[in-house]
Amino acid sequence: DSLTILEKDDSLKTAIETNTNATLQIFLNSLSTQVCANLTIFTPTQSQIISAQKAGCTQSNESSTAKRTFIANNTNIYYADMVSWYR
Amino acid sequence: MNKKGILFTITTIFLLLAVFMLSSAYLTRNKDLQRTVVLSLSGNKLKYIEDDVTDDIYEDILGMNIKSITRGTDVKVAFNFSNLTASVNHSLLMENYEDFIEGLYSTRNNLNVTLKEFNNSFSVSPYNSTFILDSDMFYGYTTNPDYITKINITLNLDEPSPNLTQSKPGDSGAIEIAVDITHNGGRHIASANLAPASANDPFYITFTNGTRIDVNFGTYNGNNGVLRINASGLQANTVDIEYTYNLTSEKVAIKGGNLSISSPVGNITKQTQIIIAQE
Repeated sequence: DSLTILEKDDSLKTAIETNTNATLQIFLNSLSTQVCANLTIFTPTQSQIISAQKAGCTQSNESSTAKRTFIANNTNIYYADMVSWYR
Repeated sequence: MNKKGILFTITTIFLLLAVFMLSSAYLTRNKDLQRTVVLSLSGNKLKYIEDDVTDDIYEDILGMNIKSITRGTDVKVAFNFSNLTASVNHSLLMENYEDFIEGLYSTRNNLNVTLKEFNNSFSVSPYNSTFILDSDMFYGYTTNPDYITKINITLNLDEPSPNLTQSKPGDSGAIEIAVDITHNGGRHIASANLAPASANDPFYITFTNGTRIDVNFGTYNGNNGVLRINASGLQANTVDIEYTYNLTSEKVAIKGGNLSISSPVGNITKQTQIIIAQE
């Protein structure tokens, strides 16, 4: 799924270490037209660090959520939530 | 007329019985299908969680990397790691991850995920070697050190002060220990043939500011064939280690702790050992 790709190609890690959502935004914008998604990265204390949403999408009540944990910034733990829905 | 009535009643009963049996069979089949779908979805989710929790976790937290497992006339297992220094608490880093997985991660995924024997060590089977990274110390225990024929240790130190003294142990046995230490003031290359059951002297370098690096192989705390590296007061940026073992037919696997995932949906549990690398 999308989060697995973003973890394995180090996009999640890079977003934290460069403190920018640019790569994530590009990935979300490249999703197929009918799919919308919102991605947020949290610390283990549930502080929101970075987020991005596909351009032109607004939140929907009917969505599904996936989660992925990863290590970045010299052994710090983070997790990402990705909410996706159809237009 | 009565006969016709009886025949009609019997026929109706048979028809109703047939309808009832068909309905019952349909319901049972539907239930089985539903359970299969639930189990399939749960199984996929557990596989995803297993990958999420364990993939590259030893590499990411301990900074270790399995370089190769090669088989020829013998078996060589090579790995490296970074930051052998007192300022890194490898044990605490692994504990923090375990706490996160068993706490918030489990809750947010509506699962019960537990990590057992998940710590700052990993093992190599079938040779029963266990390696431990513990701040400025590295330990390599092997239950039967007769399997070991050679160990190469390459260290790259971050030590600004000049080296003062350096030394190596005298030969005492048949296991070749080769050490290559690079530091800002030069390089120390040495080797010795050591007995695993002897209290051998260390390979070492001391530096002018009182720091030192020690590499020791032999008996330690009642165990034979223990490799110890101590970065006392300094940092080893990279540590490369290659164990050469006698050939065995069993495939080599490098293993970490155990993972257990329980899902309330479908009431299923998945238990697995973390395989860091294998042939």
